[in-house]
Amino acid sequence: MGEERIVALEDVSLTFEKGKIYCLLGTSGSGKSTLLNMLAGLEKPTKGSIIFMGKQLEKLNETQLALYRQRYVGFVFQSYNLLPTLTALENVTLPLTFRKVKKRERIKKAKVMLKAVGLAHRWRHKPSELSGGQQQRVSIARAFINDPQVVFADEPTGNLDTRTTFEMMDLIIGIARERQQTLVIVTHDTEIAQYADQVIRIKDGSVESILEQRATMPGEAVIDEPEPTNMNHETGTGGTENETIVYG
Amino acid sequence: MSNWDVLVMCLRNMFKRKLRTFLTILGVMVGTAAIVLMISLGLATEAQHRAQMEEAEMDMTMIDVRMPWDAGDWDPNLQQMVFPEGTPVLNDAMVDTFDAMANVQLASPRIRGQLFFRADPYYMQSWDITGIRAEVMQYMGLPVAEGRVLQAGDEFAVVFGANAERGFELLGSTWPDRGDRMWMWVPEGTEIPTFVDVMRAPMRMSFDRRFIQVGLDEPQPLTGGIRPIRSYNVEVVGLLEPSDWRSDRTIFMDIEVLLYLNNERIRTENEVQDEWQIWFSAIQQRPPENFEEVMVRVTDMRFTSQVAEQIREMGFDAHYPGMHLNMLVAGQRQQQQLLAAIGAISLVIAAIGIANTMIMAVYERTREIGIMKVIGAAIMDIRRLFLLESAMIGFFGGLFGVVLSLVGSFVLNNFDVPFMRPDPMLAMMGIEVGDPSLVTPWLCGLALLFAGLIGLLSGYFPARRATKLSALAAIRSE
Repeated sequence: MGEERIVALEDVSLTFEKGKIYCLLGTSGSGKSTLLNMLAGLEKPTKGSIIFMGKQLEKLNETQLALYRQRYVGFVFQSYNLLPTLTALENVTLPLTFRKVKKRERIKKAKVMLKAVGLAHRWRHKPSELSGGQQQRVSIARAFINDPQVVFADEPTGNLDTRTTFEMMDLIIGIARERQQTLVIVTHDTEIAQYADQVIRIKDGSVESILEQRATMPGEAVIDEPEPTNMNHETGTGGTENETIVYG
Repeated sequence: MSNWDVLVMCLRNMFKRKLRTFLTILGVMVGTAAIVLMISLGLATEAQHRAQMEEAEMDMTMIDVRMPWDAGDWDPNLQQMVFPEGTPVLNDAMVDTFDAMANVQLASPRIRGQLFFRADPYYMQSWDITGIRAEVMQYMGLPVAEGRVLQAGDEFAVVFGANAERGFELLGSTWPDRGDRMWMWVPEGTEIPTFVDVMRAPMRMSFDRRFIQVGLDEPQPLTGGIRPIRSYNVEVVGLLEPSDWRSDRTIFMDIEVLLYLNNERIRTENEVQDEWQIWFSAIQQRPPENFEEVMVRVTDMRFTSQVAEQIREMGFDAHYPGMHLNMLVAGQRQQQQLLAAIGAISLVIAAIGIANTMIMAVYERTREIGIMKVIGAAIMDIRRLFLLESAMIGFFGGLFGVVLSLVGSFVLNNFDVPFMRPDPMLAMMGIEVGDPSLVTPWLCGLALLFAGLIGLLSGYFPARRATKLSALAAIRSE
């Protein structure tokens, strides 16, 4: 097993421009997540290089990579990845805590952020007391709080139902557009790809095609499915709190 | 992360696993209390020992060397001790051997004699005349109140110990009607009158018991009397300050002169048929060239027991003031070291407990660690989080442990704890026994510091493990 050489990515050459929204589209196992992890400095390529603001990420050490993520990068995960012991507010302030921002200032910023994602009233709650959608909103607030250069979203709607998916996409895209931040979304869902300025199809570790398109703006998306009646994620009274988390 | 943020998050983590944190702290607490209590026993013994030494005013640098009591046999025909061939004897050569030993300042033979003094209208029959080499007296470290110590060339010159004057009595008084001034029978605080100003009063001495009865109206019955009574003018060249009980009651003079006087005394006693004196002198007599006693003075009291042991190995008895106390204390110390070792073991177990708790915490928080790393926590932040937590467990364990040991110490000192009863030997020796446990502030401080340090050390490897975790792997773990 260990001796088998698996090539996750090969011959990939991409350029991301500031302020644009990208979508890495591919099936499971296509290498899109590996690509994202490399861009985020979580994994290092065996060959080749990733250049961010003139610096080669693969040459940075752990400390420098931590700084890179702290200063320039925001993350949204499929499984939210909130710290269960902290409240929504504390989770949002965490990146600022690592940057040694003063407490009063970071709380002020976090409250603004929580308001932007529509959770101003729930800042005191622990993640376990929030629905999946609400948790993802917290996670979005956390990703954007330190004004990152680029936000990576790895299957951000993978655990959400269709209706919430569109709400969440509207939210992320809305904030990214408003702040003119670069956003890289990884997904296997073509509907989500509509939101991107550029769709990069990945297949078997290589770029299959790059498609420039007119991106769907927040609120433009058409929801095909009938509206579910028994779920209400906005208020969190619905029953999707203990979702099974499936990664990748 | 700022220090405050680290602290807050750390406390939060500790509270999240209240029971586990509490149990780990409990382990450290018990370990710390055990070791502090054990050390407190040792401290108490040490403090007591020091106090007793000071109280007894013991000169612990002086070793008495004698022949072992069972080294020879009493020969009734020769009227002296006879030693088997090859037995080491206390002669001049042996004194020189002692003198040449490491850490020995001086060795000098010391004999005892009996003399009669008169400073009319008082007399003294002293059985505590110490004969030493006149030239070594200056090295004995005896404090002089007036005059000087003996020096080379002194013959009929003596130095009085601080209380030796109290041997003087009114001429003609006998045992029952004496107003005794000897220190050992006088209650403390009693004003003791001085009869004779020894430095100035004219004084004569003799080896002849008849000397103290000359000129009395009612001479006591003494047979014989063929031989004339010989007496000598004696010059008191010095008076000592009180130092130790042995020197206080004695009168010092040159060993050669005292040997001569002793021999003359024995001859006279035989001639005048003083039966009681003859018997008394006989048991005091030693074979020629075998001193009753040799005193060995070491350069520092640290060496006393070691030099004494060396002399014992050479086949003599060697005693020094406080020796029994020293041996008792040494025994106690050994016992306490064993107890302290047990305490140390429990602290080691507590340290393992901390390490276990921290490793569990790392496993449990693997995902959290991953998340924190991904959203920008520096390696230092992660390390500080874990090190602080383990250090706090150590510190609080130490804090509660110190409190527990204070309580334990109080119980030991104020209640009758069966296995803590003092050694009955001490009571037999008339030594007052104080509190068995002494917890000093520096011991508490040290225990706290030590417990904190142990926590920090125990947390080192778990913290390293946490920092080494791959963020990506950690975030995927459940």
